[in-house]
Amino acid sequence: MDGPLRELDDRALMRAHQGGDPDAFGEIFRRHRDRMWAVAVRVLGDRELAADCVQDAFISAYRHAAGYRGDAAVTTWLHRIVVNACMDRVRRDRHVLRRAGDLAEIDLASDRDDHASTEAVLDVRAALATLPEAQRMALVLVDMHGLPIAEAAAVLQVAEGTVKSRCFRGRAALALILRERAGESVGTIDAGRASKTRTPSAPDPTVNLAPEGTP
Amino acid sequence: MTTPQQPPGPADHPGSDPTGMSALLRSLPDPGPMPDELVKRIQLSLAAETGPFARRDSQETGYAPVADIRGRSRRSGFRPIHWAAAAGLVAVAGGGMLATQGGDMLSALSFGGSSAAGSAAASLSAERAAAGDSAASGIGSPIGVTVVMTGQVVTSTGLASAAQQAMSTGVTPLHDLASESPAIGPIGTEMGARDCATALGVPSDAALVVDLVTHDDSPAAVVVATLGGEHTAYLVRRNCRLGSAELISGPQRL
Repeated sequence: MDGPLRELDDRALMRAHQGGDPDAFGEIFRRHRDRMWAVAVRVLGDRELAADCVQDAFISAYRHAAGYRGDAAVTTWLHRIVVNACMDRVRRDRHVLRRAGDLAEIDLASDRDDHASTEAVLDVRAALATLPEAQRMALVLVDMHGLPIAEAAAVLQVAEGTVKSRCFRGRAALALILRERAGESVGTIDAGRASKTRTPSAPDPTVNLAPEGTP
Repeated sequence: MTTPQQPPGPADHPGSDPTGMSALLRSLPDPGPMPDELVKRIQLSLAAETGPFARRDSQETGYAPVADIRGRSRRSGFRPIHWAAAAGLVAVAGGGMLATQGGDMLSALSFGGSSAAGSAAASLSAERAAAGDSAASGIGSPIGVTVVMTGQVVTSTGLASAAQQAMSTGVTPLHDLASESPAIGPIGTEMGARDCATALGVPSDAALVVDLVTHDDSPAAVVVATLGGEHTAYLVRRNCRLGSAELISGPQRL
């Protein structure tokens, strides 16, 4: 990889690519591939499907690079393309999310050889798969993928308040689903180690009443 | 790389989340870096976009024409993925597309022109699905072997046009290349085609298109090897194999 390319920021790389530099997009791919892979896996919950979608997305980004005007950060633009590719896939193949809920990230969780951890992950993924698409996407981007609210809003092309509202409602719905699935217990996973425990902090169902578009 | 980009704001995360779901979701396993195989796969796809079969022109996209790009002295980002590999991918992915779609490769790769890039990506998926996802299956197997059966009758002097026909018209590729068909012979399999190419002196990193044809009322095959953007055609008998090229005509540069 060329040294000079590595020194360019993303926007400069996009300009170079638009100008015909054959290596510029390769550097963009190198920089962002892991993040895009991660968001695809998180959206789809299936590594094989995610691989297809992220490949399609990068090719699409390459081909549509001429339409990039620099209004959004390159990473936001790429996230949008990847997320759209994933959602198109989900909408086309409704079984995708079902499959994700059944099988999601077993390979990731099983690395720890921790049955409880795997089970908890599956519970959460399955519950997540049942949420409305808008809420699910907000939770994936903000809570799982760690995007700031503003960037998630840019990716989803909605207002920041809408993202907050979707997260709020999605979390409440997710908690309710998990609580119902586990009886009176709510599955929680410690940040360091996944484990299923009982918690007294049951979700308040009333939070689900927050209107769409309100923070 | 896949960890959150910046610390969450106080209004976004656990402190303001009485359900605990935010923390729960954040604790799910990180997918980790993109697998090396996928990295290579995408690099091949992107290299093919700029390679000899690239579908774009400067008028459409503002990019430099392919010829200009290839003529540039500085290139390194995809340099390891040289043109042969790119052509190999195109021969597998694009070849599958052209054969399936019944048109030339460039039109098979065309987009619907939607404003949402995701829709474009979806159409790509559909195309790949239609092509048996050959781009994906090409990785980890002999690179760039596509076998088609036009059934055309080829004469020794008509090799060039037959090779062009094999590469440019819509015919359905044979997808089940793992096992040998008695009616076709080993050249109808990936390994058999590669062995034949080796006997012909074709480098192992060349992409191959094998067209099952007839010559003098006998089964034959047109083998088109693509390396460095250059196509070379051979007419061989179907029992072309390692150690015995069974060459009828060629090599002929296209």
